[in-house]
Order: sequence, then C-alpha cells, then structure tokens
Amino acid sequence: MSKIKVVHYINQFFAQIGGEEKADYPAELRVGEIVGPGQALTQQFGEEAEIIATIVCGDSYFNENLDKAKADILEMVKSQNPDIFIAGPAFNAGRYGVACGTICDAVQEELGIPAVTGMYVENPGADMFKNKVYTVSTKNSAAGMRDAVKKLAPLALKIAKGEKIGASCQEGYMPNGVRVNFFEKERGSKRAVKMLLKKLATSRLRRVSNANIRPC
Amino acid sequence: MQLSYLRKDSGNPDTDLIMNCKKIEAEGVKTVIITDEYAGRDGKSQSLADADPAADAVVTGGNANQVIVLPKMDKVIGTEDFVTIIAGGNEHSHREDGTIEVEIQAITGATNETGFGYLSAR
Repeated sequence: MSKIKVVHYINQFFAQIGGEEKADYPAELRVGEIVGPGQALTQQFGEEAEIIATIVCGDSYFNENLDKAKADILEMVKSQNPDIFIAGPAFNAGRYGVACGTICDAVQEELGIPAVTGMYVENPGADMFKNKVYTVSTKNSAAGMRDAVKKLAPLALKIAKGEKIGASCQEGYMPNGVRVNFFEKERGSKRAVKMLLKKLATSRLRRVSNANIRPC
Repeated sequence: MQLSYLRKDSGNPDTDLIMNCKKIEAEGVKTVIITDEYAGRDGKSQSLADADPAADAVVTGGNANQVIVLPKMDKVIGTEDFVTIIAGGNEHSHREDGTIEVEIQAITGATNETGFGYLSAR
C-alpha cells in the first residue's frame, strides 16, 4: 500500500525564517521538503504517511492578505493533491492559530480534502474553527510539541484512512458539537456518585470560605 | 442533603427532568442527573429539549440516536417483526442481507438511565 500523502502548513517562525520581523513572509510551497514540526510528525507517522510538501506563510501576511493568501495556498495544496492537510500545531500563537483554522476550513470546503490542526484551547483560532475542523488540544507553547504531534499524527492518519473517529476525549480533539458515544471505564451509577461527592465537596468549600470572609 | 435524580423516556420528560432538578436544587438539595441524550443520528442536535444553570451535574448514558447494524443471527428467539415500528427503527431497518439497522434506542436499556451501563458520550 502506498503511503498517505500529507501537505503540511507552518508559519515563518516554525520554518525558522524569523519571528515577528519576518511575519510578512508570503506563502511559499516547498515540494518534497519536511520542515520544522514536520520532522516530529514524520516520526510519528512511521511508514504509514509522508509529508510530500510543506507550505510556509508568515502570520501577518496570511491575515493581512487573507483573500490572496488563501487563494494562493489553495492552489498549492491542489497542485499536490494530498490525502490529508495538516496545519500547525499553533499552540497559543493567535494569528497562526487563526491562519491554521482558516486554511484547514478552506481546504476542506473548497478542495474536499480533509484537514486537521492543533492549538491551545485559548487560541482565538480554536473557538473560531473547532466545530468545523478537527482541532487537537495542545499545550500553550512549543514545549508541548511532542505531546501535540502524538495526538495530531494518529488523528490525521485515521481521518485520511476514513476510519471512524472516536469521542473527543479519546482522540484528543476539542469537543466540536458532535456527540460521539463511547464506553467509559466506570458505570454511570459510579460516575454519578463521584460527581455528587465532588459537587458536595465544592459547595462545602464555598461555605467555609464564605464564613471566613468577615468585614473588619 | 443529596440526591441523584434518574429520568426515563424522552420528549416532554426532558422538561420534567430539568424542572425537577431546578426545584430540588432551589430547596438546597445537591442534585446529579443521570440521563441519556437524543443528539440526532449525526450527534449534532441539542441533547435535551430543556436546560437550566441549576442542572450543572449530568451523567450521560450516551446518544440514543446512534445508528448501529446488528448482525444476522442464525437463530432468532421471538420475532423481528416490530423492528420497523419500534422507536429507533423504520421501514428500512430490515436490510436485504438479514442485518438490522436501528438507532440504539431500539435496544432496551442501551443508554441505561439508572446508571447501570458503561456507555457515555462526549
């Protein structure tokens, strides 16, 4: 079986072009190149998938030239015809997260190619796109890269293979408004008792702390 | 004071459930709800027909609208006749290859509301 073809999108920072001063870097297609986080993804893919091209785009460039950047990147993705498109992970970089969500959504909607991204839950891109694009929940900085690709790579493979996607808590993506059944380790009755004990403990705590706050 | 409130059935009982929870909480009784969900076959619909901030602790028995294909059995005890009219079944539930396609609500106790089951949903 041939490997699953992946196109990977990253920003100027993760392509090691530069930081804020290089954020105006226009979209660029690098065919056959695996750049930055692409290395970690490739390791996780093993023999199952390969990054056939990397797209690099500055965060300011993408967001300030939205229509052109989107159109250009869509053309680049189309030319590579991948099985799946991966953007990021963006961690807590706001414009990067928004770019990842925007381009994943566009790739899915306009090219019909499935896409997946990853970012920190408070990244503005998460709220904007988590219901449209599978978005893996990551830590808030690139220190969480290992953890992020461990979730991102398997989920991307599953989506590319058209396998059934489990519940958000199993697969590591952010809840996306789609309820998915799964079997818990504990029975409903036990879960309910635990929840009740937790609720009682919290309300007791609140009572104690209220009692301690007295006007002088 | 504490209470676990269990529900049964669907539709209007959603409102009963939430109203009871709200009233019981207002009496100062900490309440946990065990319920199942009807989030639609695609899982995208609102799970319960009613909601209230007082109902802040909910254990789910899963989405009863999930579609499942039951394999063909060599031997059937009883009858399969009513699978087309039971809640969760429809006129297409009997498939040509002998399998049965239904929502899991057709299986009694599948999303057990007494908490006697492991099924859940996220």
